[in-house]
Amino acid sequence: MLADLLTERTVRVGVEARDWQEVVDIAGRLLLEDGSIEPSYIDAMREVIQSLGPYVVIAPGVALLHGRPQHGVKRICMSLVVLKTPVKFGHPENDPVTLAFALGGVDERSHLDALAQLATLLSDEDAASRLRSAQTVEEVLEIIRSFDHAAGSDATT
Amino acid sequence: MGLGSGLLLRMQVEKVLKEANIPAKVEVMDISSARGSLLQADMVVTSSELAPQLGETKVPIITIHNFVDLNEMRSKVVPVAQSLHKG
Repeated sequence: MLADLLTERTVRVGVEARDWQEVVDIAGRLLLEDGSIEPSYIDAMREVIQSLGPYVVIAPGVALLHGRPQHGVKRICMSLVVLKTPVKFGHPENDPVTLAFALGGVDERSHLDALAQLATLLSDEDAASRLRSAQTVEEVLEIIRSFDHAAGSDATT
Repeated sequence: MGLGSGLLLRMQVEKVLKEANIPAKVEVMDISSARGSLLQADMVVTSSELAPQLGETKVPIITIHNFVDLNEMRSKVVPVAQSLHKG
């Protein structure tokens, strides 16, 4: 599941961004170019942070960007931007962010498996640290593929 | 915002409660609905970022820093849930 969403089209490494707004733009544009979202979804992801604060920084160094399905998601999608220089989102404990995932769901259920696999991957400190220091997209995809298999059965129990 | 962080949080809460054999119904709510529904909940699990926006309540509010860390989730959620379950 995760490996179907995070592909060479939706993963970028060594990315430089000035601020969190640019991180949202870059992660969102990957989904836009992949044909998974409308441009409005990028604004929606930014507005979630503006209105509710940087709670999207769900773990130290990790942001999970998202809006709502009705804000312009065409199909379940995810992108990952690995930042070269960590970027502050304004979160008191979990800043600065190195891994920014943008997630688009079409309802509240269908992307649960992908989210479960992502949680398993990120809770594995070794895998998370290899993701953070990945130099190539292929390295990232390899880590993700290994977790897609490892977490697949766990996610449905 | 039952899509990214909220869903993730629900999944993790369900996971640690299941491990501890505590039956629970876990629902995702956005802040504005949560404010009105708090009285019907036994406990609320949220991020440290959003907790202050819930306002005054008698319901225990548990704040989680790291949504993927099951140890943090376990140590904060299970004891409260256990006392509610017994009581």
